[in-house]
Amino acid sequence: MNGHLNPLTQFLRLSLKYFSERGFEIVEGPEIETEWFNFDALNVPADHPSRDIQDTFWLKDGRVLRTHTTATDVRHIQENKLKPPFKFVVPGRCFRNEATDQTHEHTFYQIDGIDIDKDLNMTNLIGLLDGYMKELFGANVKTRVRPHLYPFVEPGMDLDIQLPDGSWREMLGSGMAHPIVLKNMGIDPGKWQGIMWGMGIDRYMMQYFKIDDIRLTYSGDLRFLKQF
Amino acid sequence: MKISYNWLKDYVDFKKTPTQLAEDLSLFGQEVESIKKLDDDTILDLEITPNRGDCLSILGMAREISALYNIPLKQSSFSELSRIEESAKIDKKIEVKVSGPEICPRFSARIIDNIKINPSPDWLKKRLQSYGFRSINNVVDVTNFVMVATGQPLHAFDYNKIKDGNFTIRLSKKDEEVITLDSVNRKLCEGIIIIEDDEKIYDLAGIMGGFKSEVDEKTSTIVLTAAIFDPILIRRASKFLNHTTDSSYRYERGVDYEGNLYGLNLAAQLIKELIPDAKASELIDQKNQPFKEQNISYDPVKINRLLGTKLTSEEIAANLIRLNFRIKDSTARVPSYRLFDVKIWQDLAEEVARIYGYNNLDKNNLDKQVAPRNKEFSGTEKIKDELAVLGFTETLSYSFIDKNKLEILNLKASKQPQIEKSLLSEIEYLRPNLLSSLLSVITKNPWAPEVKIFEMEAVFEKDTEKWQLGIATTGKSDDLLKSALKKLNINSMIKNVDQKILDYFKIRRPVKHIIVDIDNIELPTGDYSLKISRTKYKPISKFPPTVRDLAFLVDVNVSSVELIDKITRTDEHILLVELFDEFSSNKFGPNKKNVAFHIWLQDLKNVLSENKVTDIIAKIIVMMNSQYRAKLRSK
Repeated sequence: MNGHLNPLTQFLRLSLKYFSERGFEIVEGPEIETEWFNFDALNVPADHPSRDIQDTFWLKDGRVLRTHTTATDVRHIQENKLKPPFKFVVPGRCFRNEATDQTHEHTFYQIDGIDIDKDLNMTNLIGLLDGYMKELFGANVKTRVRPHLYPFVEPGMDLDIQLPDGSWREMLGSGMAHPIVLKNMGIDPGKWQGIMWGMGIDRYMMQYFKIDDIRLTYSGDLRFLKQF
Repeated sequence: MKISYNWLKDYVDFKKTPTQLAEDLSLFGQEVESIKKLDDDTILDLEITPNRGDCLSILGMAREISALYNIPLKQSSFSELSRIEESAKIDKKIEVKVSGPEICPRFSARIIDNIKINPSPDWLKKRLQSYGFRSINNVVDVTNFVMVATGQPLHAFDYNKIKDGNFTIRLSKKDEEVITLDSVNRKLCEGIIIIEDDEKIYDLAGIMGGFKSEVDEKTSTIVLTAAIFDPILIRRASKFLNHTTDSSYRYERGVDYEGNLYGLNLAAQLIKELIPDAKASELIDQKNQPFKEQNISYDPVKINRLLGTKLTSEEIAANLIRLNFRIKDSTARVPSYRLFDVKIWQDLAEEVARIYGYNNLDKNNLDKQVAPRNKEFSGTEKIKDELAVLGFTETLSYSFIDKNKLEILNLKASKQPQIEKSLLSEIEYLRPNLLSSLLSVITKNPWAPEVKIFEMEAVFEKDTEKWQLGIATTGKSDDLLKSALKKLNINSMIKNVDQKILDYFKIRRPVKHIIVDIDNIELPTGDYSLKISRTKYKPISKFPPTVRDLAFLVDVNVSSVELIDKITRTDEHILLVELFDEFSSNKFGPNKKNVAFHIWLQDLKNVLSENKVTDIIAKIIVMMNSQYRAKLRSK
């Protein structure tokens, strides 16, 4: 007569476990954010097409529904006056101003991670994320990386996994912390290097359970929830 | 952006199939979203990131391919064209005035006489079609063709419609108006780049041409223009007018100052090919701002440290040179078309890595290490576990609430954070508490025999945000909620939901709930469960399910988990089997227990007929009887 945890919650825990085992503290932040933390601090200035990448819910009072949990990175560092080295992950709900359909939702969950240390480099980032995919999908899963633009990292990249049918599915965005972002965190980019990444949990969960409609998680439909 | 495979081959000679090219480009950082055949051509649809305005053209992508495969561009297709053949002496002129040099750093033009507006030849129509443009006429088509080919937006004005050849380029004042080519009268705010003569505003610069200077079938002389405009002003204007064009899209992302003349001259040359009698004037090239070269110094040691590589200075330089950077003593001169996205040495590092191949980089995972514990996170997750053990199901709901729901729940909309310009009425306010979410879930599940749910999420009021726990049950009994209060040591009231509210939410049974702020709960200690369900999702039907209850007497040692599994497999229409009662009693006989299940049945294509339901239930009873000697208990 056990009840059920939402499959999303189950996945969130499993994903966090991998990073917890590598020293990443779990940090949480607010869902309503300031423009500064969600965009400007992350090198996404106003008047720039990069703002178009994310369709945003703006509030009448000028705040924003956070479009990524990356928004909490700078906030957490600033509010706690953190000095490197440090590493933490931020799980949480995010919002995109998108019409909903089977593969698009305005509400979703992300885990964002950051590690700042002396000699972290891209091979660490790729190794960490490749290991993450193998933990979630099995040791035989093939991964590949591609350059991609995220304003808060440089170089930036996407990581894909190979599906059973041979096609590639994008799973994570990541990169080396941009010097402007490091400076906004009060960190000297000449001394420290950072790795950052973010992943939407919903897509991964759908992949794992073969769920075909992203809206089911938030539907409250017990026929769905009671299966897990 | 749609790029024609054949058109690319005009600029660079590579020996890859469209599929191979697509794969290689994706790994190089230019994601190909789809490949489609179009007659004898193949169209690759690319997602170009906002920092690579230089890739919004055939030439731009040809450069990428050239770097990727280390093949030079075809010289014959790409030359300065600084003097097109026979620029004639024409006794017409224009006067270009710019109110501020930064608005329009460069303005070049040629006046072309003896224009005859006609349909375009097939080869030109085909090229336009590959991108997605309709053919309009020979002159307009050439401007569109050249924009796609080179990345330089062009505009052709009817010379005779402009008073005295006056091209005054300035910023608009508030409420000025211009009628654009699509016959729309647009009211402007201040700060939009416009072109006027002393009678009228006749161009929305960089965005769309004006109706009053439009080329039409009677046009005999054109002014063919190619300009560089300030990206930020174009973007602001485009956002204000809520109008984006292929031209403004490119300007926002940065158009190559040094590529300007190539675009203009290519277009002039093509017009002369299509209209042999046409006469093009000398080049008009007004540089309101000089070209600012950009050099970035870099340290190979730092690049290796960032990438995790061991490249020599020569290797780093060679990689950059392939991308047209000019290297001298660890300083890179940025190609003119990359000024908008390559600004710091880390940008150079990315270019080095692209040529090196991201997938050639090693993988060096981090070591295992103990993480500091977040007690709040662990505590709230543990609460979820404790509620699940009691039989509750965790739901997640949207954070939004609409005005009507706020009213029915007697809450003030004015206190709630409000979304700007929402497209949907359900997405207007942020919710103040979890009640509406819990009730909405209950509404959605009228066929569930009982609903026992909880949610733990953020709620909002004015500028505060806090986490709340909401637990709700249907039915008359308090017992389950009381056990929750006890287990979690919560000091809170169980509330009944008003009939009026139940009616609004179309809920036909009583609902009780507990809503409490997380701050008011003493968080449990200990680890939360890491168990993940092993089930694969079974699609749920568009049609409502049928739920039947069955109770059996079985041997005490029979596992109820096994029974659930066996019953579920009896028929494909069985979606779920829930155990809701299990107890032994001597009145059942020695070593017997009562097990009772909710059987959820569905059909993906229809509502299940009564007959079909009866059949399936019978099947279950037979199976239980034969495999477990289970006796059906009548209710």
